[in-house]
Formats: sequence, C-alpha cells, structure tokens
Amino acid sequence: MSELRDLLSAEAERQRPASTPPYDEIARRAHRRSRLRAAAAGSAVVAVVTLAAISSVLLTGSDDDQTRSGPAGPSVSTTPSGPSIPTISGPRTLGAPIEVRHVLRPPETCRATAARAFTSAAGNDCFELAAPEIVVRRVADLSVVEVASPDGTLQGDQAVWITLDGPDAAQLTALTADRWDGERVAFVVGGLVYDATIQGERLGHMLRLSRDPRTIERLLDVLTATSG
Amino acid sequence: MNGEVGLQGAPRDLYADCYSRLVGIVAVAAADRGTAEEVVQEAFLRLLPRWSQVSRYDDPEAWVRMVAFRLLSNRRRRAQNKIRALVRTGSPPNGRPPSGDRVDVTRALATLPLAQRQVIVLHHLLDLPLDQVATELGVAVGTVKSRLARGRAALEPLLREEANDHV
Repeated sequence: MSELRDLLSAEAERQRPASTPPYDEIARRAHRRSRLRAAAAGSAVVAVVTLAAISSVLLTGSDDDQTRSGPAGPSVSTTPSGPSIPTISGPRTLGAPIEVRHVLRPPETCRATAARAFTSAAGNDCFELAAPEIVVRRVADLSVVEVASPDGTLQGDQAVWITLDGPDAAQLTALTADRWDGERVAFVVGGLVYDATIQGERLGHMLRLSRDPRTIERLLDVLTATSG
Repeated sequence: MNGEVGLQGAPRDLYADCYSRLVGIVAVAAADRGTAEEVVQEAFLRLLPRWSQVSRYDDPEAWVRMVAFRLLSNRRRRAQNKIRALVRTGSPPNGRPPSGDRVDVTRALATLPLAQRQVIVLHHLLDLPLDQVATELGVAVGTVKSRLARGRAALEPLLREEANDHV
C-alpha cells in the first residue's frame, strides 16, 4: 500500500491551493459571527420575555383595561373589550427580534420598499424616490445595494444621505450595519455607484453615500471585473 | 465578542502554516478542492472562538482537520442525492483531466463513498492509526476497519485499470 500512499501524497500536494486567503478575512468573519450569535442570544431572551408576558395576559383573560410590564421587556396592554389580542408597545431593547431575524436572512433576498434621499445632512433638500426597489446582493467579496430610481431624481456627484422606511428598511439597515461592518459596500443609486458609510448604530437607518473618485474607481473595477 | 478572536498571533501562525496543507488533504477526501477550501475555512472560523481551549491540545492542527472532516460528512448527509449521482456516474467532480503520466487517483477515489475516502486519506495519507481515525471521524474502530477494507478492495482494481489506461 505504499504505492497508494505515494499516489495520495502526490494528489494532496497537487490539490494544495497556490495562495492562502488572508487570515484577517477569516478573523473578521469569526468576529462577525460571534457578534451575530450574541445578538441572537439577546433576541431569544427578549422573545421569551415577550411570550411570557403575552401568555400571562392571555391566561388571566381580564376584561379590564390594563397594562402589564414584563420583567425586562416591553409593556403589554389589552384593549378594554378584546383580551384575546394584546398589543406590544414600549421602547425596543437591544437585539429586538425583528432586526435579528432579518440579520440572519441571506442578504441576497433582502428588499426594501421605500426610501428618501437628502443631498445635505440637514435634510432640507429631500427627494422622495418614487417606487424604489432596493436589492442587496453580493458581487465577489463586495456587498452591493442597488436602489433603482425609475424617475431618475437622484443623480449627480454630490454626497447624499438616504433614509429607508418600513420594516424592510430595518432589515436592510441591520444587514448593512451588522453583517458588513468593515466590509466594502457599494450603493448603486439611479445607475451611479456610491461608496457607503454606515452612520450610527445598528438600529439607525441613515446611510451616508459619497462619490469619492478613487473609491468609486475601485468599486467599479470590482463590479466590471465580476460582471464581465 | 470573544476578545481572543483574531487578536492573537498563534492562530494566525497556525493558519499560515497549515491552511493549504489541510486543503490538499481534505480535497483528496472530498474529491473537490472548492469544497475542501470551504470546509477548512469553516473549521478555522470555528477554531478562533475556541482558541484558548484548542491551543492547549498537543496538535491544534489535528483539531482543525477533525472539524473539517466532520463538516465534510455533514455536507454529505445534506446532499445525499448529489453524492449518489456522482458515485453512480463515477465522473470526476472537479472535471480536471489527468496529467497523462500518472494514475488519476482522484478519479478512482471519486467512485468511492465519502466515508471510505475519508478513512483511506486519514490512514494511508496521514498515517494515522485506526483508533485516531475513529476518533477524528467520530465512529467506532470496527467501522473504520470495515470502511478501510471495502475502500481498498474497491480502489485496487480501479487503480490497476487506471494504470493500464496510462501505459
């Protein structure tokens, strides 16, 4: 069987990759996974507390107007005439379920349905993007967020700020802020490529887009190389 | 976040030292280098948060290899139909032609079930004793023996045939 060993050794040597991916990339992925797990654990606690609070209301079944607070979660209230459908209100805690659930979804499926763009930080020059469709996908190692703007209002080379509305916007923001922190993100808005910088914390919806020529050139290199 | 992730030099050194070697080894068992790279990278991803524990082992590389091989097994379980199709057709998954002056061991191995390829690689390529192969794969020693015997029995005529083809 030494012949077999020689064959296997030769094959293993032949299969060795010529280059090794950067260790920093592996470390960054491990870092991100660690944070996602911590966030998921936090959301599980919130979900359990929320369920416990809802169950408590349902089990008591009181017809009185009441507001109950969970041990550490949001408050739960019922309407005077309808004890069977509680509503949840109160401030969201860190790792609120909706964001975490979205973070764990594949970015390729992420879509948002509404957006407003501002050409100044003060927000005094606002464009409402008509029927925008925001699609997030991966191109090679680049995260690409495409904002289709059929009316073409968002054009030009000035820096813009963009806010996103609705639950899908939270999904998009969570994805960009949590999954891609430290990674390159390209925004393609109205056919123009922008370099995106995430502003604020993970629950924020503000993304600053810029058109720095060198950065854009680098992003375009990646996009054109992979699309060809 | 675990403060040890990515901050120490030792896992970086281990990665630089053994990544490509592990990919080569796993690629022989997987019969596909792309898959090998994915599972080895995943194994390193799992190593980093556990580095403080794994670094105390005699051979941390063996831990990474074990995880990579088990990930390979898990993939097989999730993709049973694909594996069956590959075994049935006997075609080389990576489609690389043989070099012409050597026996295409990959093609021969690709006709074996993954479990048999794994024991053959660990035992014959890495010279691991049977009990260590059993430990790494999480199976009984008897299972390793039977897989090894079946694998060798299946491989022998294939290699002879390949050798004749290249004469």
